[in-house]
Amino acid sequence: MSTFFQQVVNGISLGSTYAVFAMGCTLIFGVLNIVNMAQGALFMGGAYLGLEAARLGLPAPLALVVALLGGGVLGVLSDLIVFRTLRARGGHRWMGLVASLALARVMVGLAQEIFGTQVQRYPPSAFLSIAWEIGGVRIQLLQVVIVVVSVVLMALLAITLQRSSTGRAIRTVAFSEDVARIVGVPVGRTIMATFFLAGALAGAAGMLLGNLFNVVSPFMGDQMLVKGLTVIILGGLGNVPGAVAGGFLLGLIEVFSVAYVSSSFRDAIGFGLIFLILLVKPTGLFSRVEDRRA
Amino acid sequence: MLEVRNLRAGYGAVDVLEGISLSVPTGACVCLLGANGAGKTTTLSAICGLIPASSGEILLEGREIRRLRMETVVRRGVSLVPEGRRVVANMTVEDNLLVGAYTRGDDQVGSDLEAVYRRFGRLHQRRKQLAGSMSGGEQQMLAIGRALMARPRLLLLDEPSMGLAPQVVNDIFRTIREINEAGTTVLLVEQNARKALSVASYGYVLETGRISFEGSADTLLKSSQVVEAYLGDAS
Repeated sequence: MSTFFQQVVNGISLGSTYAVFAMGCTLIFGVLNIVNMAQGALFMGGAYLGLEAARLGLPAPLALVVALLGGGVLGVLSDLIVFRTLRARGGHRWMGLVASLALARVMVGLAQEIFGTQVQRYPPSAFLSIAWEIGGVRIQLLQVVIVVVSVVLMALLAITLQRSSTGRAIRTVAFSEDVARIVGVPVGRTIMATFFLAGALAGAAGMLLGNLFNVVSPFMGDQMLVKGLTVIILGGLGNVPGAVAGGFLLGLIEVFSVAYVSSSFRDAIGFGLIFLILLVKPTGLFSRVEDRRA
Repeated sequence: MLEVRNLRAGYGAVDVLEGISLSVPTGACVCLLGANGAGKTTTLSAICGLIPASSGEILLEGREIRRLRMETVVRRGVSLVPEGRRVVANMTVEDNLLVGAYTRGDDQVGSDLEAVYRRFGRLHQRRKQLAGSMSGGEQQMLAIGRALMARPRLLLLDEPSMGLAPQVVNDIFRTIREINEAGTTVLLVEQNARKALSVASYGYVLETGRISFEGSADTLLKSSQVVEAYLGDAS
């Protein structure tokens, strides 16, 4: 039984990082309907920025802010370099896919040049390695912190989207760019703000997962992008609470398949289960017909 | 308030408007009549910067606004109530009204929201509902309320009676009259010519991209040309 609860603890802490990343993905892919293949590279960029900040001696909370803001800035850059340019020329959305794929490869290449291809690790922290043992279940402070930070980020995003003027502008642009123009919302700047939010979430998720597994590598974003896409389809495209629930679900599925089946089948089981769920509910687990978008 | 001179505009390479001129004095309610496809919506879209005008002048209080983007035009005091209402269906009524105040930086948005709720009691009752769940008439009130939230000095209304029951149309036109009497200049586009001329003091008739006729509301109501073409069988 303790194995079971141990997996629940591990699954929730892993799933919370997936949830943070997937919220950013659903903003771009689902709400704005933009296919940004560089989203995984932003995740990787955030992990390295947080790592470098920590190595410079910044305390962990400040390093997280660096990863968050850095990811946001990288998100804005991906909009400026790829999507704004294509929009100005009336480019097709699949052109954005190709161009952002190229951008992602450039970022991975740069990371290899700057940081090397070797896996890197965060400086050890005596504080975060504190752990408790409760009834045979080991809970690390690091896991608790990761879950708390993730929940705070989820709440901040929800408040931004629901209560702020920028959030209403994002939802209006998502509904119709023409309607946004009619009420005087600057469409280009609002899309850029969305890229900032999504990039910040990706960057923060990169640092969180980098700490959880204590692994940072130039290629960590590739797999994450696929997971992010899977989670948002599972949760219903553009559905932020769905992305959160889907993230936790994928995290739990993964750790349970490692514990009870085999680590070789982790992704096969994760994606396979999601495929089965989508066979039953093609619009995603958490989508309602009239209220699909953020 | 608004002076339009020799305006040409359209979509792509083809101009729908072949040089139209019209004038809306401050405080007036002016209507633009015409059949489907005459260019009424194109005129409003070009005035507020939603589509680019290929040539001509659009002067708002004497200043050229033709090359401005719509967000800037809204900031200068022009709001559009678009054809088909175009409320954000998956947002609440209140969020629709608040996004109407997006361009404003002042602290009176809250009191203006209360003012819209006083004018449209139904919107207050339904403020937490999704806009898409409301009737056409309620959505039209919401579209007007949303435009008012930007505090316009010039309100452009595109076919506010479209698809609404006669009683609801009467309510909407009473509201338009009240808004105009409270000091907002109105340019109204309508197919329901008789209704439009009941609130407007002056009217223009648009025919395939040109102004074919203009005059005071009384003149238009008495003109055989207008009566035959636009008032013949209407209510």
